[in-house]
Amino acid sequence: MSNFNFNYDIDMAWCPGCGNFPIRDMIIEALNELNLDPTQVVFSSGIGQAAKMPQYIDSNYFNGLHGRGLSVASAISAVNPELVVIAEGGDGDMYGEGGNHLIHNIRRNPNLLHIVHDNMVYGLTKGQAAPTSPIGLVTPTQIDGVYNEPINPMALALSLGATFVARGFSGDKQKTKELIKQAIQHKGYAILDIFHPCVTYNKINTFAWFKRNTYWLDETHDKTNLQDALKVALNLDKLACGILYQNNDTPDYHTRNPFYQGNLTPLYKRERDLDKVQELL
Amino acid sequence: MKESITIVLSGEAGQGLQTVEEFLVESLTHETYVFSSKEVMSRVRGGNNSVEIRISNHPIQALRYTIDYLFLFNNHSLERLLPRLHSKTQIIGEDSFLTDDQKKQFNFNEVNFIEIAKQAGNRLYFNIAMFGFISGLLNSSKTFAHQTITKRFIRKGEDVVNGNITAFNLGYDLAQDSSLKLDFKPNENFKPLKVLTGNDVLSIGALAGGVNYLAAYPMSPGTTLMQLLEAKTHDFGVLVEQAEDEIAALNMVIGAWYAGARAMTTTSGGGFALMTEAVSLAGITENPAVIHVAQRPGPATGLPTRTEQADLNLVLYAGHGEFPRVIFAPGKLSSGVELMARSFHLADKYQIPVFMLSDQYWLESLAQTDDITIPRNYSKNHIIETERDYKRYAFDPSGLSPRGIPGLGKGFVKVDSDEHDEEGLLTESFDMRVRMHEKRLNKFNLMKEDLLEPSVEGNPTKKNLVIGWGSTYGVIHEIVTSNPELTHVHFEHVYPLPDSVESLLRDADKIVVIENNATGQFANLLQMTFGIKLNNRILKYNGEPFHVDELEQKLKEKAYV
Repeated sequence: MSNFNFNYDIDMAWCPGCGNFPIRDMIIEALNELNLDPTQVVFSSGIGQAAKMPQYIDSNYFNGLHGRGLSVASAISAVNPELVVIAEGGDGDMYGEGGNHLIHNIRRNPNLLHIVHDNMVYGLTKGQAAPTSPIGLVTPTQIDGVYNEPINPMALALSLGATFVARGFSGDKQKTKELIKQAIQHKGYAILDIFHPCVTYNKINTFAWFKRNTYWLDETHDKTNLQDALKVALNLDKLACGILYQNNDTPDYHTRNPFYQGNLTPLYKRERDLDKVQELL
Repeated sequence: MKESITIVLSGEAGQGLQTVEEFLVESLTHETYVFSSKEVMSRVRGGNNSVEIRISNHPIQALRYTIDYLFLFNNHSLERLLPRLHSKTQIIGEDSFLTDDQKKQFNFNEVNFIEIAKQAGNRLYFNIAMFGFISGLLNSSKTFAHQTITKRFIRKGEDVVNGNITAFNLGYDLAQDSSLKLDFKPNENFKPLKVLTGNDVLSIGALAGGVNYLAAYPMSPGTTLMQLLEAKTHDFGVLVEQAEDEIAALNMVIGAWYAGARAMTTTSGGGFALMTEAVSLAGITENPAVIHVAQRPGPATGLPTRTEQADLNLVLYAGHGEFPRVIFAPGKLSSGVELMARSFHLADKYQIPVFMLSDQYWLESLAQTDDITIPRNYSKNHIIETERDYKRYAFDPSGLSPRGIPGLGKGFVKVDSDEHDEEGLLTESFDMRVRMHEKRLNKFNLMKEDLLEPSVEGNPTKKNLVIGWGSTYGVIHEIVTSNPELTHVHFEHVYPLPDSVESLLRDADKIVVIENNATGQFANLLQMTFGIKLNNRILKYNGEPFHVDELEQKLKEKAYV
């Protein structure tokens, strides 16, 4: 029986009532229920309140730079196919600073789960707009309200060919936990955008707002149909949770990269033949 | 300066100058000393590019400014080279390539290589006809040339091989009958040498250092190394990732090291500017990183296809905060192998970023070398299998925290870009900050046993020092070997500098520092490190490397030779 939970106290840096707490519980439960070996799991995160998550889970982590969690995760997965890799961060980290890496890692289809905490505002830098902030949100850097269109991460990921596109909500623990489990088991890149309220800085997108403005997809939704998924993602009147899209036919990074050719031995276990190098001279 | 013959080919991009260069150098290296380099414009077709091939009966690794034989490929390839002609320069080309005035003014020799090629069966053979003509001038061996042609064209079929050999022979015989024919006698003691570029030796050095992952974004002149290692993907197991940008590239390299790979990136100054945040990341996470920065002139886009040594400061100071690093700048070809491999070793051993600072000129010139033996002890991983209570940043008596990787052992490997405690959890403890910071910076002390001394050649009294670093090795070496009063001190390990350099500087009567930049960045580093004024500098920053005759003249002006 695995256990990703700390057995000691730690002073977590989140505000009381933060949506990050239930997300942490879900991740730990999902990993425990999948019976994964904590030494074989790696979290890679950037900077922000969400990116502190790996500090509070008993596992390996690389807590690097703002926006780069996905790049580091992608490389970790590339060089050691045996590891379970999770990139995690907030909307600013992953959709703003790391936007270019999001686009291009979707193209790579790496074997990893990409969790994005989406509370539509910046937390650690104290309340500025996020790429997902709604028009009109008043912030210290947008005193007359946000006037740029928010990003639609689900539609973006779908249009780029992401092979697993899902959305959860911190207020729906059981369902979101199941999404995490399915996303980890997906072969290829899985993006899971998790809505959660920021109790300190976002007075528009509150817990009640999310409850009112989201719904869960049911079995009538064909998650293998990209057109249907896009239609759902583009409907902003009511925001869908659940697996919008899953495609198991596209080969993952390790399958499509001619480097591996079926041999998934991690790079650190491979020896260099120095005699062969000498022959080059 | 050595006795030598300087041949320059001048034409448009895409006209095949490089073909003549490669064939000539590959065939001549069986018989004599040769060095070649090209200067090209940043375009795919057209413009004016030139190749210099210098032939000598003594070892050389440098260019001359003045041209002895100039081969033109069209009617607009002379203008830019006029300042490099002397009274005896012979110009060879088609009648229409020069104006009537120019024909009267210069020593012009009409040869139509396309006509010769047509006689051999195909106008496309004209480069080989020119190759033949130059070989004929030098009276060099037809056998080696024929071997080179056969080797290069065998895949295109026997007809192509035979056509090219005919074109070569026609060119060769024409030169033998001409008044231009040289009385060139190769050195009798010459033993055939290998011809390699800087890019070649760096790729081999990286393999010897155990590279198995490279992430990079293409930027000249750093891209060739990426391509050479990509070509080795299957034979040597190198996973090459073309990253979406340089920011991703170095972050990926660091992620790959964290997970147990031996990783590097390659770029030029502009691309490296984007990587600097990740250099700092390597610093605090105590994660190895190997970074090849191929210099070209800046600022910004600068002169994309030219050369300079102006990114030493960039590499030296890149990254916010304070942390140790190592910088190599190869001069000799053999050092390219040794130092590139050593970069992996030191990056791994000390858990630091290590830089290989080369430049366009050094990377792309064709130079000769004796046999190189690859280093055997630089490809091993410095990683441990972790125990359950493993702490990534443990205060170990060795001064270095043993590095584990995720998935190997029972422990967790927790790495943080925030200041952290021994376990890797972020901390705001001032005391812990000081201890961690001192642990990292103490690597400067630990590293002392691995710092390389500069090479010292020439006069053993070490009174008149000519100091260079990196790619200027060849040009200074040639001047010092024919000026016995000079001592050449050359740095290939440019940072950190060993303490012994101080006495070398203090005991000298005269010191001149030679650099391919405008401000004397290395001289400034020496000044800052050892507190000795070094005002005597010869600097070049027009985008070209130093030429041996030009540098000797400048040393004369400074009453050095």
